[in-house]
Amino acid sequence: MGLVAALILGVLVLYLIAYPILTNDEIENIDYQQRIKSFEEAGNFVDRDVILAEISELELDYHLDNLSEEKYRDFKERLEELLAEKEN
Amino acid sequence: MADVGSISLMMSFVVIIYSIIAYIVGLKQQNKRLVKSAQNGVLANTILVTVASLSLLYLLATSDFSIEYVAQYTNRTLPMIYKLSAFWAGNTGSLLLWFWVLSIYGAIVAFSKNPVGAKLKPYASVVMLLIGLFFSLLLNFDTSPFAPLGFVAQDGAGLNPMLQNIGMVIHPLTQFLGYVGLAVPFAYLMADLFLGEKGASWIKVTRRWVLFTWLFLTIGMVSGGEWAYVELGWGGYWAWDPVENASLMPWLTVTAFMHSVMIQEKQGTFKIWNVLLMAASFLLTIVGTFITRSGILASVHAFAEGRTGFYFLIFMFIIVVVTLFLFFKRFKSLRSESSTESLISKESSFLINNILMVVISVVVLWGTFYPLISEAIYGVQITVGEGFFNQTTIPFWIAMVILMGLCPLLPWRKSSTKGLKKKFGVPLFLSHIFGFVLFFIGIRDFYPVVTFAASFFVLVTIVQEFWQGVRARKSNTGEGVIRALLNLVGANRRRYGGFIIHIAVIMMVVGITGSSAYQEEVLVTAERGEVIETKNYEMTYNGLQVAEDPHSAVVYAEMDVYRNGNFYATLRPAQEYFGASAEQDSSAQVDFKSGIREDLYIILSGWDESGDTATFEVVVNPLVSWIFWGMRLMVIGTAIALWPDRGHYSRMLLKERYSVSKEVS
Repeated sequence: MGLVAALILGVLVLYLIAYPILTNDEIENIDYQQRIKSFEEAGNFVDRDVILAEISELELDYHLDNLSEEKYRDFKERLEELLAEKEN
Repeated sequence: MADVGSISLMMSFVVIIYSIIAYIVGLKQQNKRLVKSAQNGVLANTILVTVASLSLLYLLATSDFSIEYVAQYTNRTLPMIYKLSAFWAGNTGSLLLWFWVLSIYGAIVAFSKNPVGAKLKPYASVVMLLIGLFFSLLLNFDTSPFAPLGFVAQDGAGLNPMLQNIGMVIHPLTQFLGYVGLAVPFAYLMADLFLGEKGASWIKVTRRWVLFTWLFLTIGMVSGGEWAYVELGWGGYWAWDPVENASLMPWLTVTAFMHSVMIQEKQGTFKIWNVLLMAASFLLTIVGTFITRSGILASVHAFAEGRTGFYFLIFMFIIVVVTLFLFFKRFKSLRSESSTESLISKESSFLINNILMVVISVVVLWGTFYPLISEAIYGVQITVGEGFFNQTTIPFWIAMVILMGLCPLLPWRKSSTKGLKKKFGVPLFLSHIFGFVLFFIGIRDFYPVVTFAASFFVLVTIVQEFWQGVRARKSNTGEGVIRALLNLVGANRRRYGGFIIHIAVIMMVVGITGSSAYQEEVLVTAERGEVIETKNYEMTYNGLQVAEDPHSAVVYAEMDVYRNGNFYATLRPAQEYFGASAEQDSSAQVDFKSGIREDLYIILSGWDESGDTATFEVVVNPLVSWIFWGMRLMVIGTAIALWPDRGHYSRMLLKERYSVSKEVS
């Protein structure tokens, strides 16, 4: 019982922690331009939580120097506008 | 199943270490993949600790007496709910509960979508993991809930009868949700100090979290009092016991924090104070856990017997050192942007209110640890009783009640005499009248009269505030009174939710004052059929009955109670006996009838062999139900204050952008 549980849990844990490292570069190279454009086109159909998650992701990328100051400001302003539209 | 629990805990230990390293390296090398891996590590840890916790619940539910913890705290006849609640009946289980709740909160932080202060998130996650590492170390290498007994016992020792009460299912859970919840604002605070964010971001991210935590601290504390009232059978609900004090101290500092944080949000002042308050609050939760888990307050010798207390001491030392290091490192940037202009202003009154709460907290801390200090210095434990705590804290409590009426209505910066008259003229006048009325109807003790009058003052200020708001809405929008009231609260939930919380506090203050100043208690022996008279009650003792089930035997007395000549209730105070060793395992099951004015509370203290004669302790507790109803109202008020406004995140982001541009300029 213990061994089987250890095996299952071990595989699950390894999957969780290894996935972001081994996966292709979709984690590091997010095309914000494209994604925000699709949100803008979708208008009211975009969920508020999706926009919130996108801003969080953007913040992380900016903090990790994956984005220029200019791009960060542009993307964030656009996302904030979308959020304001959604919330009000 | 014990194997599964042990393995999960060990894997959790490894995963925590991995996640901490991955976060640190990822952030340092700006490697997003590693950061994301660490984030998933937090989730993996939550899953593992959940598996461990479910394993323990399974072992308890199935009465697996090959496990020491199960054999120590349950037995075969224990009802299922108490078998499960035995999870937190002992030291090890409580630590696992701490760890479980912490791991869930850790995952909430790591995967939070809140875009405000988002860059603090990974750093806060590291702090949460470091706290988790301490509990993981304890559970893996010091005291495991899955430790084998060495043989399979026929039956377990059973749960302490006093813990076999629904209050003991609710109280520890809510208390832990509150205690552990403070780890989140503390983690964000550490992240903020580490990044040199000038002490502003963490406040924004954790504002609602602190309120949520405070709610559970309040429920935990009051439900503990309710349990003591219902179960312990001494007629009271608060005894200034070290464990009770341990829950009161962080509650006070968090309450102070929730008020002073408003000043920081509004004026940018109190940053240093808020940092210290939050650090102290978190530290006090660890002190609380330390007090209950180390046995140190029973005696320093009890502390020396186990190592858990010693590890807690080291942990607290590390928290203090790290916090002070970061605090002094960022001290300059934490200095206030403006200063207080006038003594009669909202910020000044909040400061005084804060000082009062901290003073009470320090007094309680001193009183709680005094037996230990006296034992260390004089070699003799000098216990500090209720008298010390009451005499030293009551004047501060009364001052706090008065401030509760003043603070919300005082204007920012400074106030004019005209403005003060307009705001406080009517409440002051009415509360004085109320005080005189109390005096004339016979309530003449100084502290109760002042407290009731001060509570009335607060109530009038709040009603006035609601009325002025409703009147303004009515004239502006043409709405009816009810709609205007609902819209008023809906438009500013934080403010009006806060007022409702204040009304709840007033209810509790009134209940505490009435029940402690005017409690009446008689010890009386009655024969079957005899009528006992006390105050306006007549109670007829109808004899003893016995009820048995496989779990326990209950001996109860039946009493018909009349109030002012009219039938009021039938009460059945009892003694309940558990298990085979009936003589040792018994607990008083008090019975009481609760009312708005007072509670009639009866304890069956003893009886002769035939049951023809029995001794009762009859207690009349005025206004005690106000305390527990106050708690319920407090939940409603907090829910209103917590309910997100429309446009919540947009506004927060806008404020964040504004403060960043202000800093840049």
